[in-house]
Amino acid sequence: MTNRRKFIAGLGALATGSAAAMGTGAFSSVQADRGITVEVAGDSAALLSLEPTDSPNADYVNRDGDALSLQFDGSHAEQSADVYSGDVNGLNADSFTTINNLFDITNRGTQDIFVYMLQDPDGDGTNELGTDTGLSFAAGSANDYYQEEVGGTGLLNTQTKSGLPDHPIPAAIRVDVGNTMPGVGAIFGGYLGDITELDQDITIVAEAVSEYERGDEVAANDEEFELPY
Amino acid sequence: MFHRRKLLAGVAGITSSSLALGTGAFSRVSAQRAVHVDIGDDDSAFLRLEPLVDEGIDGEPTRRSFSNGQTVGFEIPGNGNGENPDSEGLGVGSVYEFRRLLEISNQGTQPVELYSTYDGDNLDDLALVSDDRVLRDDPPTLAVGGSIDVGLSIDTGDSEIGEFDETLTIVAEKTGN
Repeated sequence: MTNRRKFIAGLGALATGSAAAMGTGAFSSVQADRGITVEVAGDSAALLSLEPTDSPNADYVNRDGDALSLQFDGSHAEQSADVYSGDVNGLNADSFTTINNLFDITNRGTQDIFVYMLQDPDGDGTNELGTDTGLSFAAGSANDYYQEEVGGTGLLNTQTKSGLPDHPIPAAIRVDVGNTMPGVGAIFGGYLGDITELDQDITIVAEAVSEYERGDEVAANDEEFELPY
Repeated sequence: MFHRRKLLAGVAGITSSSLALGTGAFSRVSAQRAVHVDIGDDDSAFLRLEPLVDEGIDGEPTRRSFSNGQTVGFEIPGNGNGENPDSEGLGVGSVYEFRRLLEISNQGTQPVELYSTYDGDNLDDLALVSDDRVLRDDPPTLAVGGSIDVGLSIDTGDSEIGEFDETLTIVAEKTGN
């Protein structure tokens, strides 16, 4: 189903190694090419797995090809055009729309991770907060306690500098090995004004908890902790 | 008829790249995915809002509901030829209902409850009304693809005399949680 492409980098032809021996036998540089085998999986089977939910809202998730994408352009109505009486072209203008439960993020790696999202609406290479488009994302938390108390968590731009995630409760965006952050949804929180179309990339980042070395303790998946609000 | 602008944008090429590092113990994965959003006119949006022709005097339209091409609005009294030209507005201390001004259709993927909210000060109340109820505490459910005809319920209460530009919020919310 997942149509896994397999990329095996060519082995052999290794030795472009050059050793610059400097008289004494000590070398300062060795360069040796080695073969690397990399398997690239479709999103649903990847180490960081992105899978459409079983909600009807997964109809907004485009599964063509190996990488999922989100399409809020009326394409969900194309498969069942007889259900809808009129044209379906997109979000309502000048409205506030929330579309929950688009896809799940599952940690199929070997380390516990923080998951967050970045976006770069104007494509200038920087990730802005609070842009005019007002597109943001939220999800359920893999931490059962947080999920029960708060019901979900914002995902956008919760990491802008080093150290623990900027998220007020890092445990809320922690996904331990084998766990799932359920139901990532999109929030069109701003008034879209005269915008008629929006094409942008979102970046989903998973970063190992062990990368954060400030010594802060992060609550584990089912731990309870103090909420700051 | 309003001039409908066509806003269906071409589906962009989905450029997605997934960068997976490591051998199983990944320490960081950053995956870029595409989001494509189109904004529709109200008559072709996920929540479809289409003015109904309200016939008044001599079968002429009152234009109490209208579309500016992109979004819908209401005007009471209407500025159509079917409106009674002798009326200057609603009476004070009254509750008026204007039924069947707007057809609302659920063009999303899930059943939704439909209701309205109003937080203005100039009227005692402003709400959507269907043929059998004000859409507030016990809102009707619109199935996927389903439609309902709604109008306005306006309580002028102790409003002052004047012209007021008010905002009615139409809410369609997935049933249950």
